[in-house]
Amino acid sequence: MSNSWSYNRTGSSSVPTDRGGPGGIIITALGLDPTGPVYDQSGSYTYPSYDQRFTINPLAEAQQGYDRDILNRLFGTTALTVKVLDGLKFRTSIGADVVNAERTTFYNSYTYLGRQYGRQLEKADRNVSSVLNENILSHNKQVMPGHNLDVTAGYTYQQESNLFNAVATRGLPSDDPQSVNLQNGSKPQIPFLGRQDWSLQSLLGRVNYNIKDRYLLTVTFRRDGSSKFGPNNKWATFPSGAIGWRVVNENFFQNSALGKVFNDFKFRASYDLTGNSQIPVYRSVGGLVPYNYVFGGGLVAGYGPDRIANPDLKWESTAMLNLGLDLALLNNRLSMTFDVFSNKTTDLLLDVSIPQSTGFSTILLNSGSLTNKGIEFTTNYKVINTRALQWDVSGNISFLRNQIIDLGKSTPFFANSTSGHLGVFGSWVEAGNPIGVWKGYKYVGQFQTDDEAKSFAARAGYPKYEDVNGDGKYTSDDYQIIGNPNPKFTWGFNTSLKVSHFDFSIFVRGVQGNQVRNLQQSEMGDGVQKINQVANILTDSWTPTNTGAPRPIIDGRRDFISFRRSLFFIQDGSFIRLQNVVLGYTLPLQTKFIRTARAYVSGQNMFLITKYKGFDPEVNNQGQNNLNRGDDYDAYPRARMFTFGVNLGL
Amino acid sequence: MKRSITSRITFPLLVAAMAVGVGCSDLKETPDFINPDTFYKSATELQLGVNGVYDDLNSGFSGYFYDRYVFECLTGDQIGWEKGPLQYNLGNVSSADEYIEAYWQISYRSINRANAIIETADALKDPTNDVLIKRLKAESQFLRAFYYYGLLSYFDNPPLTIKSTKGISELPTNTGGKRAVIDQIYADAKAAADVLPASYTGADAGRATKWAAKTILMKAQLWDEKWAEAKTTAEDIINNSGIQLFTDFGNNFDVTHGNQGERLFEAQVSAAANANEYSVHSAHFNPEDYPSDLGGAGWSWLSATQEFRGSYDTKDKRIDATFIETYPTGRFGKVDGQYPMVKWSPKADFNLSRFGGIVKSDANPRDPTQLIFGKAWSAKLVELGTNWTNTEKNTIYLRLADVLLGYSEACNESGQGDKLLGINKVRARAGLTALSGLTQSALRDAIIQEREQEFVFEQVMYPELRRKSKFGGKPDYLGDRITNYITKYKAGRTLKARDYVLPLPLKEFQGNTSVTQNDAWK
Repeated sequence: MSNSWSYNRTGSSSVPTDRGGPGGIIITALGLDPTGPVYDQSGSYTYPSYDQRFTINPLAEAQQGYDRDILNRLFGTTALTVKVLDGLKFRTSIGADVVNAERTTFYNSYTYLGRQYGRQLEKADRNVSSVLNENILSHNKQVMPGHNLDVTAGYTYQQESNLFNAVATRGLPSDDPQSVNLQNGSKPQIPFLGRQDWSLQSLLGRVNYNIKDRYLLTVTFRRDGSSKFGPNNKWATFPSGAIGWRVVNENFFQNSALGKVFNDFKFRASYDLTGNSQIPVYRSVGGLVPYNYVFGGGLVAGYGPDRIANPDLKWESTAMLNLGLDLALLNNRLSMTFDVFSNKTTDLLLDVSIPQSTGFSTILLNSGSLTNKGIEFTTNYKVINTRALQWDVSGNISFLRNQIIDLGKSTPFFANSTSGHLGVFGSWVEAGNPIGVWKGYKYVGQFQTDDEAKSFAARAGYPKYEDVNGDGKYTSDDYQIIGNPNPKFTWGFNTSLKVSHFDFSIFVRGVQGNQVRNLQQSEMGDGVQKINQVANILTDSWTPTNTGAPRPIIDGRRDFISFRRSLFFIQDGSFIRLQNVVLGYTLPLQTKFIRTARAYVSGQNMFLITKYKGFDPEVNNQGQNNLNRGDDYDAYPRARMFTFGVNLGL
Repeated sequence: MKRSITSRITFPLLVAAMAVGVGCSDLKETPDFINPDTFYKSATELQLGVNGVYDDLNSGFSGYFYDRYVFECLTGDQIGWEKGPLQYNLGNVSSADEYIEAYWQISYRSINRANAIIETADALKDPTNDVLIKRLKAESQFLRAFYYYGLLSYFDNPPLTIKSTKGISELPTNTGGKRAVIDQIYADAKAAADVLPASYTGADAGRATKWAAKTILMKAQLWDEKWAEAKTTAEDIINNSGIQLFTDFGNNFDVTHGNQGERLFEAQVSAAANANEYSVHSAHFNPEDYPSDLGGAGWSWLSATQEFRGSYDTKDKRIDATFIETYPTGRFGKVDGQYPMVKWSPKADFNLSRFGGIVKSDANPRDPTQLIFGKAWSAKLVELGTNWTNTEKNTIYLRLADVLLGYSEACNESGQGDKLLGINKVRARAGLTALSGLTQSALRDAIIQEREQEFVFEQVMYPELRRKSKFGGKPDYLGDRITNYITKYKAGRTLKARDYVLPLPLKEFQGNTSVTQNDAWK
């Protein structure tokens, strides 16, 4: 019987930095006239105009915005293991994760939203309860000498329930967040309540067969059922098999010269079929959702369909072929692992782009396929391994390529835009391309004469793009693939040193060959808008006497949307980062109450080597969105962190 | 933390755990939204569904009305210095265009909602509310006709469907061409006109009326060049509706006369009713330099040209309600505690760029003769002095002046009836002299000019011009406007056949083999 339960209470306070166009702190702090004052003569905030579009004081946003989140979380597992017979065990467990989060946001009259709406108070609550029940029967037996059989069968059940609610009101009487309640607002907004429930059941079986620690065989079988799919397709079967050959344990190997070199030598091969059900809930059914309207000056409720139902919605599956080699030599001081893999995902769960005469733009279908192929290598070398001195070095490198093989019924499409304000598109999704590529105009320099520019409605110094169809105009027909956020390879390097009471470690990692779309600069360095510009804009921009400049002419009449959609803002995002350095000292201290004591200093993000021109190439405006990666817009710069700490073992 | 608890507690816990596993094993979903298959039980629910068909008439930043504005920029009379408006000014249109895609999407989304409601109304059994159900069905038929007319007038051959979408195995086709769409508009508009009331009161104000349905019918008949039928329909509205032109042209665009008199059909806007129900027009159409703290802050960049404003007769009473003639500018900050007022002038500097028609930054803010601007900002659409998120003005789609000009056109083209009656009523209200003794072609020109000056910023001129024009033919009102724009502003643009109709969106014919592209765009 085992129990592991814990309870957390976390409070956090934040300010909104990534609001994009209308009012993000970072973007407005960068874009406002740097010579303007933050406060006026009486010490009140000033509200300068951002490109004459709205007025804002980013410092007021940071200081006056109130956003508190309190989170209570209880989670843990209780398990009971019963020894049924010799070699036969039954383990049953129940786990739970209960989260309750309450968020209060208040925009007082110094903030952009607060000035617009007579202050705004928001309360948002989130309740999550998740239960996981696992029942595993396992049997371990030596079938004959050297032959070990391990059989596992089980049934698991998981259910999660999410409840969200949010209310907001405007027209509040005070700037003090502690003194205003929802009932103080004169303009309550339409509240929101949502419930998302899902459940997942699995039947599992696994057989491990090990012959003399030379031949290893694993066969697994699982049948998964998810509530998220259509009535007829909730269940799917995913088998897998793996074989291993530990050559090092073969007599012929031991007896050969190789036996003295290698401590481990193992081939691995596996073929897995796995399923994916990571989609939002209720997507196989259509519903009616509010589309409210006004009659007679008053709000009336209206309803319309939100999607086309797809009762055939089913599991996405990935077939994964993996070949591997594990080596150890020099008395296990040097180990190496090689892996080559080729994955193919079919029945992609994709919001397919469809002809809009249906009344809809997308439908969630199992449509299309993509591949992920790659090579990975990791190694570890214990350079020195004595009691007094230990020095380890390890490194890894991986190459990964993905490609969309086909999109099934979908027309090619642009993923959702990162910023409607900028007017840029999301990534381009089309068969034959990797995921996440950008499509737009290929910037090739500037027009040098008015005459050359004429048919493009441009002038000398204006940006020049490749006119793909040669019609003398720039339209969407001239778009081409202009960038790829996927790296050629990624790597990491780690070393640690222990000398008597001191320990030291360092971790460096790098990403090579990826591109980043510097949308921040497309706003700040376009030479068109009435906002602060990048520092080198005057020297780097085309003029009749500086015709070789990299940037187009500074001209308020120039169209900047096409420029933002161009290759110009796509930059090399390769980098090397010193991720982590730690120096520790273990105190020679042992008392009745303290087992161990260690003091340390560590630094994170100590340096960054990159050619990227923004703050940091490791950026993603859209968070975990697979389709939009490598977009740098209104991002808060990554912090450099120094930590001093003490570990005590009691 | 690990510690054991007694088996007395453990056992029930495990039983409970197993019970959870077994009890919920059907994996059935109970969504937190309304099921369309079981929702519609009576006229009450049907009405909620119909309200949803109206919703897109006032929709967001790339909404139904805004997309029309972008298309309107093809004529060159209305301008913008960035994004869609600029590209359309330059004639840079393509089938992958995001504005075409957005307009197409909104139109068909609403048509699909209307289709579903019409099917539901036919199947509904609620005898006590029979009258209401018939009216609701007729409202949906009107809206379907309205949205199809909106597609016809830009794309010529939109695919036609009158069935609600259940899947993607069967897609709409445009093999019936323009004919099929016009016939459907006729059928829907006639059916709606037979049932809909002449007006509404109180909480229903803003719903489609009999006269709105007849107006759409007349417009489709004009498009179809069925002059005699159009004349009959227009006559019916003029003689039998009892609706007269407002004496004050400005009543068409103010807040107090919403859904009244000559305003036949409009999108309902009211931020007071709900914060989401504002319109985006103030954000788009406010003067660029209107001070943010007066509520003008927005993304304003859209106007008509100085030349267009200058084409008005100085006595024209429509000018004040059509254009912003004077406003406080934020270009100099406050001077002597106030924002200086600027006035429109035909002599002010003007070019197509962002700052090329607003008061010069080096003007002396204390010298009224220097406080002039050249852009023709729209007064019809904006609410100066109101924060753009608090807007209340409805968006006009159909009004009686359209019917009067349609009547004159139908008479003029058919050679029947009093061809000057309609246009002269419109001119009289504008304070202009009555026309007389014009040849057929001179009156045709006069009607076009009257439409331009009466309807600017209502986003109807590109369709109206192209309806009466032929590339390389005669008359070619659209070609004349575009050529005028190209010459006047030395735009790098050449008049072409593709300026006369919009392409069907790329996604449509990529994903739908039953649809063929317009000839000019093949």
